[in-house]
Amino acid sequence: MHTRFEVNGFRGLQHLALEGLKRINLITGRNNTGKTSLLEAIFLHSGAYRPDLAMTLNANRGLVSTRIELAGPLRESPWSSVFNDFNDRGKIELIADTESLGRRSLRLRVLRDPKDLSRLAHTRPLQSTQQLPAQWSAEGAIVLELTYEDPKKQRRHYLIADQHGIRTDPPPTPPPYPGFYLGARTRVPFQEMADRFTQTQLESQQPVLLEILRIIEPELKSLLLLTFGGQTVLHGIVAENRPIPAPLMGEGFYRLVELAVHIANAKDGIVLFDEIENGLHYAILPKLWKSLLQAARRFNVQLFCTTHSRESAVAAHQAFTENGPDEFRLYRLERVDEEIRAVMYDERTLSVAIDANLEIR
Amino acid sequence: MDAQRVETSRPILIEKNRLLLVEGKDEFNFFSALCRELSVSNLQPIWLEGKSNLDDKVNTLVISPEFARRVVSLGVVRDADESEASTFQSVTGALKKAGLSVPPYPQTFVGDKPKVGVLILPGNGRPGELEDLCIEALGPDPAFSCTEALFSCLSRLALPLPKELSKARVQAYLATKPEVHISLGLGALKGYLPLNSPVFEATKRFIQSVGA
Repeated sequence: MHTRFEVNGFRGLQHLALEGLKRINLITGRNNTGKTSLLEAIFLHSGAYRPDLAMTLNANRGLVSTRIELAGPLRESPWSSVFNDFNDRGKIELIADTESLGRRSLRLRVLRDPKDLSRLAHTRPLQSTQQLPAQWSAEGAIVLELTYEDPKKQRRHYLIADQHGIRTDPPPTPPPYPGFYLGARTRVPFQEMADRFTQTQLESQQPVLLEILRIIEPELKSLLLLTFGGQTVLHGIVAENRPIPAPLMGEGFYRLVELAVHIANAKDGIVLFDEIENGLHYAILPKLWKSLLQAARRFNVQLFCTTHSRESAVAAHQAFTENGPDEFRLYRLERVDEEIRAVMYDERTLSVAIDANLEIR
Repeated sequence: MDAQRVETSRPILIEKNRLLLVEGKDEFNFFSALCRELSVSNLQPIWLEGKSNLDDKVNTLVISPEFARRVVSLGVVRDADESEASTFQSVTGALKKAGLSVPPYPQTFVGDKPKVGVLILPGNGRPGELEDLCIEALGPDPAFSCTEALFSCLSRLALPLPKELSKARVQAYLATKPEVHISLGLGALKGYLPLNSPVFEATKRFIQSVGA
């Protein structure tokens, strides 16, 4: 579990540090203060050895196509948007201090120096199906170097864009802990949901999922995988009715299905959930937070959520102050003098702010 | 001027770059009326509900949205109650804990972004509260003599007096007005208190300094 997370040079976040992280962390702030970027940074860090996630992040925001210009006036790296101010001559550094795994740093930089590129060309043999480029130079390839460092070792992985396309080298190994990012406007593909739900079934975790989902649908009997329109889709059975495809059971319900399934799959890892209030009625929020805390405890998952809803933040505070140990923090991101900073609300300050009816978003 | 409380569910947002932190709803209304009297529109009176102590309230106000970005001037107004000195000490203690500049005396301003000043009422080292200042201002009003006679009568007959006598005296006076608004703050907003009285000069100077 992260106790501290620091972001340097990532998207709009020049330097940002979250201190005193807890099991459940709620991020608030006005529009364009970097809430989603912060989740993306934590997600990128959780990928550990995967420089390709730098491109996946844009796809999660709906920017699915990437133009790669290896030469010419438009030449820019396909991952420049993840660098602060789109300046891919800068450096990204993401640092997590964790309870059990020590400090883990991830650094990203674009290799430009012909010497670096040449060295890389010699030390990273290409796949047999690919031809060695005539010359690896600033015009011949664009390379993103990822350095991941934990207390025991340092590893480097490269995302290489050249005339053969884009590839990661060496192929990334599984990360040290699972991390899932659930965007506000993107759905997890049905097949992926089916795979993850299957995993929860294999581990007999359906009762945990049902407990969370019954907050919205008290009559929910069970979940099962069936085909719908040729795809395998999660279905819910409510009372004695026929199974209904879960995506047809309401936006809020299905987002909660996605969240619950991913928490159950993220044992000892993290889940990032953008705009948790979307589709959810305010009245269920206190119960929802309590259930999420129970599930997060059960799977030892750390949860990072963003919200624009004061009701959601107040409900979380109320739910967690009644639940024993201090396992909740609220961070508000705000822009001061062109920089974004994080303001932490512990249990006491949040309690004062809520009692005083002060804005916390 | 009562925008803060018109829509009770709407949380307080810092909207101006000069803040006047007051003790309660009555003070909020009173100082809103005084700002109107002075045509000071760039100052936002603010009061924080809840049972938390002043330290926690100031600390939470300082970390609230827009405070760091916007606030250039902060005035804190409190009743002296038993002692002006100990109230001032408690306010400056709260300011210090919140990382704000600490003025050496009431009605002086120190620091920058925000500059900070403290006003303890009724002022001049006296114990008491805002109501005492209002009573002083009401002195020349004949209607006030009538309501004061009520309390004299109670005393003469050895009947128990209200626990919060100053509040009761102001409320009794306000009960003589055409529309019965028994709270001091609403009375001030209604124009029932003589805000042009010289008694409020020091208070007005303080507001103008916060707003300057």
